[in-house]
Amino acid sequence: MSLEERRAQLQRKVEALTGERKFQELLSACREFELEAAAAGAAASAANGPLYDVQLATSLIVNDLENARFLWKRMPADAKRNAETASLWNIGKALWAHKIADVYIALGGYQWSPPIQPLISALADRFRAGVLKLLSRSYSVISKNDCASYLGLPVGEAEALVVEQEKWEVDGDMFKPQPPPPTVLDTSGMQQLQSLSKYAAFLEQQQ
Amino acid sequence: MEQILNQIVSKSGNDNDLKLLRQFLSKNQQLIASAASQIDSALGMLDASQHTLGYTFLLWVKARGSFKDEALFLRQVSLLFATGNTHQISFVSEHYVTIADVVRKLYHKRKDHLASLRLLRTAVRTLQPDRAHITPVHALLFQNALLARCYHVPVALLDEMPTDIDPHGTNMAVTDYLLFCYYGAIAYIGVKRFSAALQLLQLAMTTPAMALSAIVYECHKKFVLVSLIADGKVRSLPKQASTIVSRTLKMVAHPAYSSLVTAYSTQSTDELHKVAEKYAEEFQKDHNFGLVKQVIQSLYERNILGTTKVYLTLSLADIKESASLTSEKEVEDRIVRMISEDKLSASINQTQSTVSFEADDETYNTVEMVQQLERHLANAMTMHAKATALDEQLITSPAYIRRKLQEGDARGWVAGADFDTDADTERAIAESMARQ
Repeated sequence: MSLEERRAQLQRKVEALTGERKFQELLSACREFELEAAAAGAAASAANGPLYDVQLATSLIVNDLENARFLWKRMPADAKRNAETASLWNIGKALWAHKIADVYIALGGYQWSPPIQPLISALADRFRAGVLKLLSRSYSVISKNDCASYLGLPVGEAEALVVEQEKWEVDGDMFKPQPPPPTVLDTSGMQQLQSLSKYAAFLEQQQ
Repeated sequence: MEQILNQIVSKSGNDNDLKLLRQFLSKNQQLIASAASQIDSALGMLDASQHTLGYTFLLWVKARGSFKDEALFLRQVSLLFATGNTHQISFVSEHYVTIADVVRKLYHKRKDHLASLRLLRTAVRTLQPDRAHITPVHALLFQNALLARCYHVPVALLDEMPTDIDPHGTNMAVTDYLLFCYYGAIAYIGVKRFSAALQLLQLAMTTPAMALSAIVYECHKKFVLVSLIADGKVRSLPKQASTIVSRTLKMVAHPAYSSLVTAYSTQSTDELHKVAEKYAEEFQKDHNFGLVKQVIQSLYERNILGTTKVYLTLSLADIKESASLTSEKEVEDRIVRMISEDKLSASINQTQSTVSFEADDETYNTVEMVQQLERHLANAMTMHAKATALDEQLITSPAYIRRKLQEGDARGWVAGADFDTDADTERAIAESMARQ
């Protein structure tokens, strides 16, 4: 299979895996293709070069910020000049520096192309959910304005989200986050028994 | 050349033949080198997967000389790495490693390190008898990967946690091992997995040695910096470390690093900044200045953490003072960030501008905790299995049995007088080997 065909195959995979939310798999596939393209000397030719945008976006989704940073560093200059790629990296920069408000600005700061748009939505959803969890762990009392800027929403929408979905209390100008409910232990019968018996046998071993 | 080809094809069968073939090829090395122009056509007629030993040898002779067609060479190498037979390679491992090194240098000269990674990784897989083995090609791959700034490739290989070494079958030497640890540590540092990096650095520094290696010297510098980031202090080397190594390190260590450690222990970030600036040139020269900056940031965080040990609730203003930060907003941001990285458990109250450090409210009965416990248990079980296997291997090895028998009756090891003579001992060992 020629490099062009492999690239087309990868692009078909992008749609499929995005739909199935299998981002780590997609990231691995992109990384392998980057190595293949480099070995074939395809260089920066966009036509059969690596899918930098997809690779960068999926790195951010799985929160592998260090490798996202290195990807940006080793990208050829041509690829960095691409407006979409540069905008993607703006998101990465904000995530890496933990500047939460900037992340939302960067997420909305570009008209994303069709293959990238679903990745951005997934990233935004995961990010906002993560921030919500972080807020409930970090704050006993937080002002409505700060909370809204953390969530990248106008105050009204933020209030609707936290009160109805998360059941936070409202106290004048402030929110009172509630700790998230603990996840229920899912003991799935046979498998659990198997691993338990393995551990018991191991621990009971005589020297 | 005809004759050589015939030998290769006919003797690529069982182990005895392979040994003979290798001797034959070594003896005729000069002859092959002088017929360099015929090597390409010879390689074309061989099957890399069936005649791996001969193929490797011929390619090695070619690689040591000079050749013009790099593309052809790389195609031949690629064939060897992808389809070569691991068992046959173990007879010519040093030649195989030399070929890999020539490949590495070729791409290094072209300044195209990324292009070499796939090929070198295949080379590792073909050389390894199994994934638990460290090989010299690991170090070559890591070197190019770091230069290509492609950290996920070495980290993926490191996470397989290879621990076995086979000096004969894979041509491992001490420097290969030290480089594996050093480059591996740099890869882990790049993705901020500091405790994993510390483990590798410690492995390098405790390798038995009669003298200080330059690699270990560099490892030590990184060890100091990464220890400060991860633990806040530098652990002393464990007892296994060779005394020569620890003594020499103390003598030749540059004052920059020890001053940094002293400044860190004062817990004053101002002191730390001063030392970093004073020795900036030295740190830059060692390519460690980035790490030094991370050390400084870690002191800020450690100071904030320090207040949690003492106070139950503290105002943002007080934390700002005691950790020498610039604004209350910065304190708040840093604390939220530390909570997100699981370094701290706290709760901020914005109306009162206070932070309360309640005791860690981990109840230890969550799904995540159970999964973590299971992971640790699984790790412990694998380690146990490995240690037992190693133990068995040692106990049944002839050298050990011989030693034990010599120490003999004093330990009540052997009941009867059956093993009086050396001849008997040798016979017994030969029997046990045959039985294995």
